[in-house]
Amino acid sequence: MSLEKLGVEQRLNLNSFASDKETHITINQERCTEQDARILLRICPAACFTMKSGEVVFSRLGCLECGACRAATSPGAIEWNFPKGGFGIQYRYG
Amino acid sequence: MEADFEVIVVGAGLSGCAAAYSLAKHGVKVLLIERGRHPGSKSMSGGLMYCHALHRLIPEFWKEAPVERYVRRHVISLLSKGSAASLTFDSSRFSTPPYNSYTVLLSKFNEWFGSKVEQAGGIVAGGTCVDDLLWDGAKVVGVRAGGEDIRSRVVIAADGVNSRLVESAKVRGKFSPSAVALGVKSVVGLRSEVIQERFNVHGDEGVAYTFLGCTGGMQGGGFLYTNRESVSVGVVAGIHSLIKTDAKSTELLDDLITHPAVSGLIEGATPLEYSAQLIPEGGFAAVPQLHRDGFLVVGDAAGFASNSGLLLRGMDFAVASGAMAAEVVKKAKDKGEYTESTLSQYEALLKETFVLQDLRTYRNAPHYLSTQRLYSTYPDLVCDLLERLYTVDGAPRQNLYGVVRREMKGKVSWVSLVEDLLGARAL
Repeated sequence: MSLEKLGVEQRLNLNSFASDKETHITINQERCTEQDARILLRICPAACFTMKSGEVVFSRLGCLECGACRAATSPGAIEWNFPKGGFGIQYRYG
Repeated sequence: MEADFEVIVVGAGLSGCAAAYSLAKHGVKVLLIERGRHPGSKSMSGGLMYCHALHRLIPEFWKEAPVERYVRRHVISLLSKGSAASLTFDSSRFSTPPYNSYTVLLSKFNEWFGSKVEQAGGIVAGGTCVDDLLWDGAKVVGVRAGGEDIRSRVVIAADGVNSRLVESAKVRGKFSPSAVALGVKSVVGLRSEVIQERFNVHGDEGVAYTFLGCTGGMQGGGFLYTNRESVSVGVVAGIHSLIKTDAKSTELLDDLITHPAVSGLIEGATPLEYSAQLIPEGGFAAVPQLHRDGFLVVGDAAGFASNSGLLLRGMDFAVASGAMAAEVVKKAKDKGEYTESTLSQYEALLKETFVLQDLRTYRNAPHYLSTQRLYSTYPDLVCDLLERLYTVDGAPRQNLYGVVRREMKGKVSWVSLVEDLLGARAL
C-alpha cells in the first residue's frame, strides 16, 4: 500500500516499538487549559491525545517522543518525560 | 569523591558520539549513556550530512560508515496547487571526494558511530535514561541514571533538542514555540535501479529536493532525498504556526506526497517507517549558556542548527560541537585542571569556527523566515506567473510586466515585495 493511502495508525504500524507498562507523559488536568487541550489534539504527529468523557487523555502507544506536545502547550499543562531507558520507539532507519 | 569516569557523555546521537569518540581515542576514560537500546534507536534526521566536520574527525568516513548517496543534484521547488516551479543545480564537483554532502539514515549511521566509540575504548551504556545531574555545590559531578549515581569530572549534555539536562543545569529555560519546528518524515523503500532511472543518477549519486509551498501557508517546507534503496520524504512546520492554524500534524505530510510534482517520485514505493522530531530553529538568539563548572552542552541540546531558508543544517554542527567539547576536555586532562576556566574555552573555540559564526551570520534569519508570504503567496505567485507565461490559447497576450502586475494584484503589494526582497539579506 502506498504512503498516501495510509492513515496515521497504519503509518505508526510500520514502526518498531518496545512498549512500557508505565506512561511517560501525564496530563495535568487542572492546569491544562481548553486552549492546551485543543492544541494537544492536533499537534501530536502520532495522534496520541484523544478526548475521553470531556477530558484529553494520552496514550503512550505510538508516541514518537518528538516533544511537540511539550513545546506547544503552556508550562505545567503536561508532565513530559522520556520513556524509561530501552523503551519506546525503536527507529531502524531514522 | 573519586570519579568513576573522567567524562560522561549523555546521548549517543551525532554530537555525543563525536565527543565520546574523540575523547576515547585520546585515552580519556569516557562513558557514553544512551536511553535507546543502542546508539541510533532514537535518532532520526531530515537533512543532509555535510561531510566536512566528520571528515575532519574520521578522515574519509564514507568509506566505512553506512552512508547512503552523495548528493550531486539539489532541486528547489516552489509548489502551488497542481503546479511546481523548480530550480535544479547539478555539480560534478559534488561527485568527487571529499564529498560535499551525503544522505544518511541516521539510526543506522549512529549505530555505526557508537561502535566506533567502543572500538576506540569508550564504554557505551545503552537502554539507560539519565534522570538527573549530581552536584557538589555549583559544580556538576556526575549523573543519576537508573537509580545509580555515576561520578565524573565532566558531563557533556548531548541529549538532543528535548534536553532535560540543560534544564537541570539551569543553562536554559523551556524553549518557546517559535524556537522549534516539528518535522515529520517517512522512509519509503524503492529499488536502487528504480531510483537511478527515476532520478537520473548513476551508482551512488543522489538528489536532494527542498520544497516551499507545501505547508498550507505555515512557516516551513518539505524535503525529499534519495537513499541507497529508499527515499526519505518529510515536512517541517514551525510549532508556533501549527498552534495558530487548524492543521493536524498527522496530515502534515499529505499535501507534499500527493502533489503531482512529488507523488510520481515515490510512486510504487513501500512505506518502511514513520518518524517525527523537533528541530531547533531559534538560531543564535536561542543558544543557551554553553558551559558551567563540570558541564558542557553540544549539538541539538545547544540549539546548534541553522536554517538559512534553503539550507537546513544540524548534523555538521552536532559533530563539530561534540568534537570541540572533546578538545577542551582533552586540554583540561592534559593540564590536570578540570576547572571552569578551562571548560569555558569551549565557547571561545566555537566562536572561532563555523558553529557560532554561521549562527551569528544568520542571526536575523529566524525573524525573516517568519514572513508568512514566503510559504504560500510567493510560491503561488511564481507558479501562476509561469502558468500564464506558458499558456498559449489564442487569447491576446500581455507583456511580462503586465502579467506580473496582474498576478500580484490582491496578493501582495509592491511595498511588501520590495520589503521581502530586501529582508532576504538576512539569509
